[in-house]
Amino acid sequence: MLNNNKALTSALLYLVNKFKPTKRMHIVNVLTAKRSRISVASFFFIWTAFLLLFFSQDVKGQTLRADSSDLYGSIKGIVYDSAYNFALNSSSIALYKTADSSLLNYTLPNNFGEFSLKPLPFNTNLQLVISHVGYKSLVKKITIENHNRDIDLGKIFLNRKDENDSTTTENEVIVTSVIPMRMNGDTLEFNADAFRMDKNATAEDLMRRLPGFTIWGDGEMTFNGKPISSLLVNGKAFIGGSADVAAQNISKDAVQKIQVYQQANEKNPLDSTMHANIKLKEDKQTGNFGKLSAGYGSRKAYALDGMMGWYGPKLQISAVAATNNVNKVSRDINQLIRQSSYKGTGASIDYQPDFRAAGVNKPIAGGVNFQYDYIKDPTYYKSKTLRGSYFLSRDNIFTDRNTTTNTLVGKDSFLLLENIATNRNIQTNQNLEAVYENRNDKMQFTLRANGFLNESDQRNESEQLQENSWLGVIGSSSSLSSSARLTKGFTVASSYRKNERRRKSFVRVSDAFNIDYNFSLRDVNGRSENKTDYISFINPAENRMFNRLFTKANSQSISNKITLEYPNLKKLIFGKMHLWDIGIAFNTEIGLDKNKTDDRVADFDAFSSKYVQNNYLTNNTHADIINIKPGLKFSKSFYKHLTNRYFKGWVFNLNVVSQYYQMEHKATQSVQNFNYSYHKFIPDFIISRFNNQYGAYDVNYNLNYNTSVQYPTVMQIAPLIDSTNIWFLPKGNADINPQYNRNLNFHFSYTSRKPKNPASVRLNIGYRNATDFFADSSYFDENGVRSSYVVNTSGYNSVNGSIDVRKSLQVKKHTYQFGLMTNASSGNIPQYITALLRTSRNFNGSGNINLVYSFKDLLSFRAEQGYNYSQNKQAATNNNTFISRVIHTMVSGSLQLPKNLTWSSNISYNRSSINSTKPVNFTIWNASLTYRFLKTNSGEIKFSALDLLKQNKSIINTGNAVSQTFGYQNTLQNYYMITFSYFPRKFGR
Amino acid sequence: MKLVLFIAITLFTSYITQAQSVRKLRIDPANAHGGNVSDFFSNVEYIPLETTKESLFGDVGQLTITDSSFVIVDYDTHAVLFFTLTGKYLRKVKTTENEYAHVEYQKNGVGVKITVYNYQKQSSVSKYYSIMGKLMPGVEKIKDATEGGRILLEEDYFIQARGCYYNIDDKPKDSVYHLLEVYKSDSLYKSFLPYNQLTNPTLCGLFGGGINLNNSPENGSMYVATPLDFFLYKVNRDTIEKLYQFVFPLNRNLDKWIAETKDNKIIDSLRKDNRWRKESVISGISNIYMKKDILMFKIDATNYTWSSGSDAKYQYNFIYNIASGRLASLERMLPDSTNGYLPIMQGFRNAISGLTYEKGHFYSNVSSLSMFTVKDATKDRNPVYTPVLQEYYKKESRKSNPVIVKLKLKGDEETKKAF
Repeated sequence: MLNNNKALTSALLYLVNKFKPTKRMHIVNVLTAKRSRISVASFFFIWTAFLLLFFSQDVKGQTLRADSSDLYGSIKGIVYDSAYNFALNSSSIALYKTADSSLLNYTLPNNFGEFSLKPLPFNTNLQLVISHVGYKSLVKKITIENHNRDIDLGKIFLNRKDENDSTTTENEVIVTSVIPMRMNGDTLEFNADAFRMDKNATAEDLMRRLPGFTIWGDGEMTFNGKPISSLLVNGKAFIGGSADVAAQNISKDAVQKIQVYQQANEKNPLDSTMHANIKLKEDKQTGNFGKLSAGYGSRKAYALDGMMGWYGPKLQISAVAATNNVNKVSRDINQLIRQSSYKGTGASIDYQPDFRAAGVNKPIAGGVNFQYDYIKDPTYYKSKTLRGSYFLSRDNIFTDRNTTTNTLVGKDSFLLLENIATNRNIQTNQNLEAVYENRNDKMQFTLRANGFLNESDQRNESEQLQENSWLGVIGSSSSLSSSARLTKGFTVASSYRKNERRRKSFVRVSDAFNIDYNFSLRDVNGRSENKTDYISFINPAENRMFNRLFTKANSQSISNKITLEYPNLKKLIFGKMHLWDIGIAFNTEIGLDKNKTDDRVADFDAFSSKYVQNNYLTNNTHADIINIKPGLKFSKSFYKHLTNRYFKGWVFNLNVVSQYYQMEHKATQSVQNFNYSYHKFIPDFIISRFNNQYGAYDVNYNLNYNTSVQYPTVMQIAPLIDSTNIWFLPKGNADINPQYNRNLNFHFSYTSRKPKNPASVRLNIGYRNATDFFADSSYFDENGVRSSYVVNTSGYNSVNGSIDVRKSLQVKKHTYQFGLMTNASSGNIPQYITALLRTSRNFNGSGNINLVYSFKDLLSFRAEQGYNYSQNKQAATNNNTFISRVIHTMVSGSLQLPKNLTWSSNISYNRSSINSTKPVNFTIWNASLTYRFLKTNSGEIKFSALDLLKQNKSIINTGNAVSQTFGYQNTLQNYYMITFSYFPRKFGR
Repeated sequence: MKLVLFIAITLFTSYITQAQSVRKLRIDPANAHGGNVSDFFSNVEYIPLETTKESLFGDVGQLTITDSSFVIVDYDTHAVLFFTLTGKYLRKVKTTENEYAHVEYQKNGVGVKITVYNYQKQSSVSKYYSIMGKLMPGVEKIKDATEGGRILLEEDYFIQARGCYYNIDDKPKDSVYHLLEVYKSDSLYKSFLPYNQLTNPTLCGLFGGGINLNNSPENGSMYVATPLDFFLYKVNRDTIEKLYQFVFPLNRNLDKWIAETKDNKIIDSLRKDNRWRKESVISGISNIYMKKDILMFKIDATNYTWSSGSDAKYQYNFIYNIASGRLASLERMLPDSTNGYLPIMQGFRNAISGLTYEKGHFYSNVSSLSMFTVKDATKDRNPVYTPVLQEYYKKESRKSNPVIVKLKLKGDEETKKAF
């Protein structure tokens, strides 16, 4: 076995040596880059070879079974109470090997008290221990011999434990082992100490061993086929926010028991939700775990990550920090915690370098998170917690772009705009948040406060060339701009729900109500500078040069929103009248916003060599918005319920809401002084049908109709034109009306509720249209400059649909998950070009099939095939259709080799094409080899190779029937890296 | 002198007789015997109820056995269904969602009285039906909806349970309430078991203030038990006789300070808190049947457990041998080959409502889900099913109507041998 490993490792090293990193290639040469030396076909050959190598080995699993040829014996019996002649069907039966006290097999009896254990080894000294709460345990020494393979112990009587008697077993044999599992009322408990495992095992390793538990390839956990809705630790949610963080970090030694219980419905035993709880040992109520890692590689690539989590009976704290220059971006603390798990294998790895991202980023991120539980043993109905977090992230992105935009302006004339630009963006974002929640049977209160600070600094350099299909090159421009911006924000969201007090008789005025208050403040301070040169090749009189300075580009917005709901309005108005049991509630939302902008602009005057104020763009604006939505909600439900069989019904909800919206806008530039107010009716309704057939399936149908209004902003009514933007002139439309949207949606879902092998289907169909749609109306002048303003049009509509199918299958230790997702949408978007209506018809379709396979915790494999099709054409003509096709194939896997070695790899193939141009394709292959060392497996060395085939390209490919843009930008290139990690862990004192 | 001595002795003996308490029956559910069903019951018959689109119902909420029909109240479909004694469907009486029906078998030949209580309107209407379910003329509108049902003791005499219950936030009154009343036709004939509300706040406020009258009279008399003190009485139209007192282990009783308090403020705060409602607390005794030395009864709880098993807390239905003092529980009894290894009760349902006694037999019910699940689990024991059951397993499925179980307790001497 060791020899095979050596072969594996040397094979990999050989491959790696073949591809030493080459000099970085300039963007322009990407198209002509040489094909990489390994073709895709030979890659797959190597991959299959690895698989064969694995399966040919004798995998020494961690099962309880000994060599298969020795197992033929069995033991059976019936457990009874000695005094009162009844079956002890909650007793626990375990079989140990006398030599080393290791657990061989265990079971619970059936309702008749009968149990049977098989297969068992021959000629081995065994110890059978039968125990029950309140009784003295019985220990029997047994050896299965060839001539007596099936031992029938008949009725086994247990004696009650006397309160004064201190002996615990019948015959004074000291039993050092612990009962593996028992039923404690409605809860099934597994005692961790009964299972001997590797000393570095985690809680997840233990759960894999327990009968009934399945851990699927995508990380989901089920017990007897039912998904585990939540995994708690000592009754509380754990650090990291997801079940795998607790299961993969907590050491098995710290676990006293794993409890599984159902929140059952007593009338329908087939219907229940499953929860699991990790109960920690008394002396392990506190603990810490973490990861510190540092990596360095080719192209001066580096990555440093750190994570520490500490938990105690009431307080939990976690801290993270990360920095690298390889586009590994993290946006929240929980993501970093998840990727720092002590045992992090699995087919999907989310904290990867982002090879699709534009540009190259050097992010720095870090944060602290804490949770304090006021109540030591909270329940769903009674809890009080305080949570706080601070997160800082700093991005340093350099982008290098080269694009060509092709626009159809007339029957046979088009414009071609070529743009080469580089951009450096440094952004620092800090976020501080605190959440307080208090819930009991009288009320629920949540208070969330959030503050953030964002500093960004951008520098941009670009050159453009404009060509016309008749005349050739007609103009060029170049510009240099920089901007700095400081954004501060503060939000407070509070919500209070008061429950109705139980009264003995009818009370007309209910004291239940809900109130939410949201406040947010956002303040931006900015400045920017722009130097632009414009040369017109057809009319030199139009040449211009700008040097514009925004000494102030500030804005401030304050938003207040109150939502008030009174659920028992019907009782108040109609008293005891039942009115067919239709519920009536009153709901209103009141929003008050204030938005200000303050711009100070100056242009460089060549004559005086000074910056002179630009009185047109120097502007203060002030907008006051009032948004009030009062409404009445009517609801009615019907249901039918048959014990042990089904629960089905209908729910109807109708919201009769009207909206009063008022905007008052004042500015120094008088063209931006306007105000308007509108009164619109925005109802919505939902009809749903549910049918839960216990133990078989659960079906839901939903029909939803809603409306909303988009109100015009100053950018549509009266924008100011910044002339440094040569190619685009926005114009205002003072007569614009609000856009009224309508949305109709149908949803269907099917979930199987059989005890094994879950399956589900989801279907969604939606239709949307709008009255007074905000359509773009554009004119192009002889210089190719586009003027555009917004007009109201009819004719906008779109249809979309999606289907999602999933099926999971478990065969012994193999799990298979299959998923199919398809999506299609089609729409008509009206647009005016040179006063002619050109409606473009869009069609988008995509499909994705994936398969996830896993074998115990040793091998996981995921394959995915996706297809994306996009078509856009003008309704009037049949020419000028824009079609884009993207295919992607992705295969990833992770293999655990013996002796602490893990090999994981993912390869994705991407092919995209527009219309009939030659398709662009590239394959990205990443692989890594990880080795754990130290007695506690706390040390790790990882060798990774990213983009082994050196094909990464970042392609820009967008467009519609009128205009298409295609180009490239710089992106992360291949590199190799060695990373050292250390996992400090301590459970208990 | 002789006179003084005589008076002294009479006074003394009368004092002793008054102070003389009844025999205590010590019941410890933890020490209930199990055994096989056939040790206690001489016959177990399964009567499947016909399942058609119209007769499909959810669960047996209340079961009444008349001379020729089963009358079943189902809270899921809001209906009262009539089946023949062999399980064939006759007809049903539908009520609405906001109504809840209660059935009384008028044994004096009148038929079945169905009282439908509408909890939205807080009013009741009673109608009379033949035992086969046909509506008969005669409708009663009852004003006081808290009136319990009346049970026929003997011709023209009815017994009714009343209560001394008072609501949360109400004050107990210093007046005497009788827990049992005997009516001759419509007028009050006799009252028994006086309890003063003010001096019994625990019984009247916390424990529902009444007797669970879920028992069947036989030969003009009936057995009842009072909550909290658990005295067992034999009552007929003229007299009430205290026979025994049930005594349970300490951990099955209400905490002493709650049981003995006279302070209503304490009772009020407990009612709002519900802290005292532990699963282990026994609140009353019902479904009492007694014949010579055999006593069958069910304990009532303030909180029922929904799981079942052999642990003490899951035992509700008991058979007690008064002569030997031994206790057996129906939950610990195991089915055997004589009844095809099928269950005789439905755990949760029979913990709450117990068995129904009628003319020498005990009745319970089992869902089809259980019938089919157990059949699959006991395949390898090669059970022998009656022709009725074989037909049932061929035609029906686990979604069919529940099955009625008819049990005959073995004669007194034979039952005593079992434990």
